[in-house]
Amino acid sequence: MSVGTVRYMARPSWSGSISFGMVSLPVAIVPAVRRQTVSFNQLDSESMSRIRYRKVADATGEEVPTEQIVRAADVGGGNYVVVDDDELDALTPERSDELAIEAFVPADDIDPLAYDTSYYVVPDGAVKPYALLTRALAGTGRVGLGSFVMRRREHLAVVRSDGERLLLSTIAWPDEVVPPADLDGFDAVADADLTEKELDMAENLVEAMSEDFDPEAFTDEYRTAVEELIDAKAEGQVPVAETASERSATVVDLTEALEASLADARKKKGSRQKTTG
Amino acid sequence: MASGSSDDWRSPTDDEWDALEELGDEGTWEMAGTEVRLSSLDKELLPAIDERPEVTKGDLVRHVAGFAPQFEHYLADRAVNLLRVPDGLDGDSFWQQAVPQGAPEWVRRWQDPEATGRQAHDRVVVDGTASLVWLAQMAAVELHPWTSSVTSPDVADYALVDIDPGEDTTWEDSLTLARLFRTALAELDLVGCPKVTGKRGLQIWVPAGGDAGFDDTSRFVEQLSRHVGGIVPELVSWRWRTDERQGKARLDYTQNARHKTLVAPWSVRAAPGGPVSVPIGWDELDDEDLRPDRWCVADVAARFESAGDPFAALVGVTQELPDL
Repeated sequence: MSVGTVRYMARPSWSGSISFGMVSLPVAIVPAVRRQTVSFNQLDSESMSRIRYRKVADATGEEVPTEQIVRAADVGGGNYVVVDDDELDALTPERSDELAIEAFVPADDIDPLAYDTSYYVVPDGAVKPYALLTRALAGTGRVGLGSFVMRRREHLAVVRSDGERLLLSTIAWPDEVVPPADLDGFDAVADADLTEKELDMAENLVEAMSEDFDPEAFTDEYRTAVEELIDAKAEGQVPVAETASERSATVVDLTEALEASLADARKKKGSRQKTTG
Repeated sequence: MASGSSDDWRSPTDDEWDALEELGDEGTWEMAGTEVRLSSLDKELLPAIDERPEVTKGDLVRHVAGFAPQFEHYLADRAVNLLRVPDGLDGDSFWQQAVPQGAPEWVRRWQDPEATGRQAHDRVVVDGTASLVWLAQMAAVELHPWTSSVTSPDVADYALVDIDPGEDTTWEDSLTLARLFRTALAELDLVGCPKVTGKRGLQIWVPAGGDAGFDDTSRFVEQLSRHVGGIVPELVSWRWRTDERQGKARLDYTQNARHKTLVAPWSVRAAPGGPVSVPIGWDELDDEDLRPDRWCVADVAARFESAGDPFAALVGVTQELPDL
């Protein structure tokens, strides 16, 4: 992780230009999310040696050098069609370094389940058109929609502004989203019998549990535990599981005080009713 | 105070009171060195009800001028939202946030740098008795000041608890809730003070200040309200919509926001007889004669004479609101 004097600048996933109307922004896109999973290596438990993969030809059992490997599509019946890189490049020649925004659509129209990978869009040259789009798009509730080619694949993407910078997310092509009708089990949900009271209770619970999203409140506890286990083992210690934290003393006292106060008030009220009644 | 001298907020001298009476229905009144043009002073703004007389514009002028030294605590250096009833309760009444057209030049204005969309940009800041009198002339019956001052609009000076009764909430229920807040504040060692709203509810103001933002005050009031509501779930609904509250009271913590306001202590309410929002002592919650609209324009001066302003103890207090 690079913090401090070294600014984080991962290898761009793509560089080119985003255009809308007559304006063109030279940019690079950098992944906005760094996956933090703990990676393990495979070892031979006897020799403790790293495990390596070799690419071998099925027919000969011999290792095949990288330059001798070609791409082929399975067309069924044990037949393959070989497609080389030049042929693929020819399919998307001029569009490979441009993302043309075709329309600005309401962000709400895009179902969150279609969102794939998110990137920061970093200016890579003239800053002014970048600033222009960032400002113009901020607060409109709209996102720029377009497609571009990255790593030999055409991606559908949306470009949005957070007011200070642009962000790009690739989204699934509409025909890639699995229609819910393909899955069994949803039909019964629509037919379920719910009483007003049940619905009311559930809605009350939702309201009682409503709060703002605080990203800092969430950590990947499994990952943290795995890292601690590794650290502890590296130092030859046996890790100890943590116990859950308890409610703070202030809150316990407050609840007790409120309950006592209420009981007291009800007692008083009861005795007053007795004397007047 | 950031502007003006405390003189600006004094109540009228005997000579000034006499001059006001001599005006009759209209004329120019010189109050604390500022000339305020007054008209239709005999016009009824709020009708009579039961034993309470009607409230004329002249009555409203006398009320705000008389209570000016108290209003200073709650209005000075603050933007204020106004409920105006220029043609009485039967006419159109409306909320005003922006400086009214034709406002005299000496009225202090403040530009809200964060106003967006339909929010007003130029707001009225009351800066003394003359401003109060002019607002009364505009038939601004209710004064709802911001919780923050214009000099630090993001610092919340008070955490506001609003006990908003539902259709089925009895006065006794509201008192039960207020007493639970009293217990909670005492347990937490925090200073706060209740007031009747003049309509149906009760509010409790808890000084915050220091560097508390609205995030802090709304978080605190929400947590506190949920603790109180959790003790008496049969009295409280957390629904936003009135028609979904099943007649229960709502503990409205959402007023702890930059542009949200509650009625000022000592402000008249736009209702027949001119009820007034009056600060009370905690022990008055146990007074069987207490009602949310117990005092009105006609008798609130006598109440102040005998009981003073319990809210004065809150002015200038800063305290940390704990995380619950």
